[in-house]
Amino acid sequence: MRPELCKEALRLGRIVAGLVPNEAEVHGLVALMDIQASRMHARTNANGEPILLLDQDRTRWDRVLIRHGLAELERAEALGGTLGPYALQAAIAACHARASTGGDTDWGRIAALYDALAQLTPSPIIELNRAVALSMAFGPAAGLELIEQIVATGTLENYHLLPSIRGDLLFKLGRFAEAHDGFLRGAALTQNARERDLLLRRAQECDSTRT
Amino acid sequence: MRFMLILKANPDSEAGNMPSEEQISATVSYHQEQAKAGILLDAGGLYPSSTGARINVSAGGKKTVVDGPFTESKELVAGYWIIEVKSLEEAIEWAKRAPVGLGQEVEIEVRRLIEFEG
Repeated sequence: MRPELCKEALRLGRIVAGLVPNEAEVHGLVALMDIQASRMHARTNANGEPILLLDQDRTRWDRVLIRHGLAELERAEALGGTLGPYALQAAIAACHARASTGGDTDWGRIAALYDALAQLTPSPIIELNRAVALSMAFGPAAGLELIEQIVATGTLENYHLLPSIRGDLLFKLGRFAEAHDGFLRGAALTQNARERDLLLRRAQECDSTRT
Repeated sequence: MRFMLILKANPDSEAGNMPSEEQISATVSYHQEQAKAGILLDAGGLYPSSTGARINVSAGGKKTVVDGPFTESKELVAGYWIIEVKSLEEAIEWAKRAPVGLGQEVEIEVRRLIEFEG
């Protein structure tokens, strides 16, 4: 991450929003950048390694940026019309920002927002995110159903997160043999050594759970 | 860097007098200018201290609640702006342009906000 570059982007975004105050999508973009930037100091540990959203210390999120981002999102929504891709992504980020703990997250709303986003800008990555949100909201089977549809299309077949997430959902459903294969495939595809170790550990975990 | 421009109270604000039309429209255009410069993060006004309270904590940790109003109006806060600018000088320039006073003695304190490092 390059904090100075992020700050400059935030500043320019705010200027554009000030110049064209009736453009909903500009407020959506500012909201998205604010809320993403609010997590800047929570997303890496002392060694610079990334911390996943649900594992972050939320007290380190920047409340001033969140407040400004939520106000900008409200402005985008108040201008009416269908939300654009930036405003939708901001609305998703806002669901996380509003939750004081990971457990409080409104995953049903996130899944619905990803659905709206997928209709505007169809992409298998958005579908993958929607699958995760569905699994968090309605259980692993709901997420797995969508994952299998993505697998069937053949897209993302070299993207490590697809088999990794599939493995995780299968594991939660007690389908350890299939989960094992998912983790192994994810481990083979990832470029990140730390992530590979984690996935191999999870594959081993499947073996020990079975016996 | 972030600064808080702290608008101090005066007898008028402590009396709960509503700002004049002129004052309101000047404040709106000030906020629009700040928005156009991309610096405004947050702003807010406070009700008079008569609607608030203070919690005094003794060195021993004993807490005492004192209801408002409080008399020393120059020490009280009436409103604030949080802005993102490049220097204290720039923050001071913005504070000087705030549409306050208009025949009343007021004070704006400019203080830098602590932000997370790294």
